[in-house]
Amino acid sequence: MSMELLLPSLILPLSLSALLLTLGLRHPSLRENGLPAIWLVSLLWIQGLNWPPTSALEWLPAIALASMIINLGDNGPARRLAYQLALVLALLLIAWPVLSYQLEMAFILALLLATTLASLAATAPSPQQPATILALATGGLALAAALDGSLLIGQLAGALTTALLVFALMEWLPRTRNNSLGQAGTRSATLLFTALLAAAWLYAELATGPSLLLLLAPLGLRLGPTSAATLVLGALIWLITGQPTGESYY
Amino acid sequence: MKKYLAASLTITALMSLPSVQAAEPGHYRIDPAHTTILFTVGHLNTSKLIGRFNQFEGDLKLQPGQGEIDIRIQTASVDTNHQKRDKHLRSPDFFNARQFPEMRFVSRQVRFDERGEPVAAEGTLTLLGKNRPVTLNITPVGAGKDPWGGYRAGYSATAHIKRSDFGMDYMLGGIGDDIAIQLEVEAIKQ
Repeated sequence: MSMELLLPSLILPLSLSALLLTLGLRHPSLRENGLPAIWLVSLLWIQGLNWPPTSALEWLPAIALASMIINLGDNGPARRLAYQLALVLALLLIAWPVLSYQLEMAFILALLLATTLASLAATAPSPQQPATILALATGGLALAAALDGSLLIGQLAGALTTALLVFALMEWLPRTRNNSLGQAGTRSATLLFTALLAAAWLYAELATGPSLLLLLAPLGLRLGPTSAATLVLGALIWLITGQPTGESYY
Repeated sequence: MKKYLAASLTITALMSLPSVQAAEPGHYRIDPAHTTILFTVGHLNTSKLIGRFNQFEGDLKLQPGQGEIDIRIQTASVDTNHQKRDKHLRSPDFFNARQFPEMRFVSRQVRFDERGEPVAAEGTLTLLGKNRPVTLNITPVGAGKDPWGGYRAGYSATAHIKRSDFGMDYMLGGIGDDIAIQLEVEAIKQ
């Protein structure tokens, strides 16, 4: 892999996450809200900033900002509603170019399903190892997108995975075993994952079956990391076995 | 000696005559069955890859002083003889075909030579929602009646663009920025 790919999607988010976790030892809110900010830096490096956006993916910086804004304020029903609204808005922004000329029931149902599942996953009361589960989901998406359509979306999902992996490591180390991602980080990562998955399905022709399995993966926040790993593995096996042989070209 | 001189003058005169018949002025529609739209792009600074678009339509108004060209290409029809690469080319990394299904070249500034043949068209190429000026250099190939009572004209045309000018700037390190476009057009007079 070239440095052009590695720097913004691996080295940068890895370094920034490590820095954030160090700084966040005494400031949990900074640590929990920092994840989308790290991803935003990687995103801007990879894709640049085009404002106002002309393509669906150019809305991603705004979606990352929205995922930070919804974490402001106190926990409560208002925040839950704000999160659901942010999910709907993010998916509408991503899907609008397609919906505007192809208003099909299948797309609307898919977006409703994505909103419901993401909302259900992100509001799990006390998830076990959320960073691990979300890193599995985003990592699965990164591989799936890179294998089956868009290296760009794969790279963006890869950057999110790398940022999450540092948090996941904290969940597994005996001395620091804790939920360093927190509810705020879990909400943000789930929102960003869902937006990226929608973009991969709509614009990069990511196959529907594996997309559905990946969409279900964050439910591991309620069901446990094993179910998330099984779903991601299932999606990747489905995708790889469905690939035409000898068609690699990168 | 005089005979040789006369013969060589005749040959020179014949060679200096236009090699193709000038097309009749009028409105032409591109015949997709006999038209090819190709592009060439560098790969890893080591080779050139040629691709084509299989679905397009277009109109040519070939009237000196009032020339117009309008070519519409379906980006999803990109074909590089490799299924996976074509899928990647349709993705947001390149043509983003789902969101921008069409690219279009429109020119209302067509330059004609003294015989009334188009030689260049200055116009606007719209790709990924961005409009940029592009000049199409045109070479007439031939014109004449077809066996079915119609009238056809053929042209070769070339243009050069930078894909980054249209915001298509992903993987510029490996996939070249300069794109050569070549059109082999056969058009039927309407």
